[in-house]
Amino acid sequence: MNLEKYDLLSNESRRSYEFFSEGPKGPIKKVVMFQEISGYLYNLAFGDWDDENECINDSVRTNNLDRDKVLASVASAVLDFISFHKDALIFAKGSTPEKNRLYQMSIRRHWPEISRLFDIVGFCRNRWEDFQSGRNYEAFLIKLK
Amino acid sequence: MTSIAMKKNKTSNIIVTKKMKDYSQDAVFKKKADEAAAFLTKNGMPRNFARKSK
Repeated sequence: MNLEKYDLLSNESRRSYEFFSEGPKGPIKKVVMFQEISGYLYNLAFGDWDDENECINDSVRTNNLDRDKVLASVASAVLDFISFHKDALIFAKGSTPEKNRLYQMSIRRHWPEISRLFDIVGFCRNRWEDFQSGRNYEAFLIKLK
Repeated sequence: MTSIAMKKNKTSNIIVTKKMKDYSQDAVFKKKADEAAAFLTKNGMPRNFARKSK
């Protein structure tokens, strides 16, 4: 996917990534983490770094007018992570229903490319199903084909 | 933040560093991991994604 995205900093384990969102609100540090839940299962976590309190804030709406670039940067982190952890299953759940809708809109928008590389399922109506348009999913699972 | 850039792939936008803050102990991230585990325990895994424990 040839989308505009930020440069990322990653650690050697390729499980943590940082980048800076640039916009009207200035530089805002974003952190993407792949947290191990079990041996092969990872949770995708994402948030703003709060310098003042030295902690992650995942409930803030940054509004730095670079939403698509931020999402592309997160996608870039996913691609990099999974290239180093080919057997991984990635669980992703937005902190709000609105964020989940944003994620599924992004997946749908780039579905031809995404579906070539990944199998994605969404959780809806108490069951997992293959990702499809028109659904409001609560969570997603992603793995390499 | 002090970081030592190890390498940047010419075709990649990713710089690998030896020095990065350890976010794994962040309270928000730990809570999200717990919530993810609880969600999957409650709702299970799709059949074609589930794997046998080693």
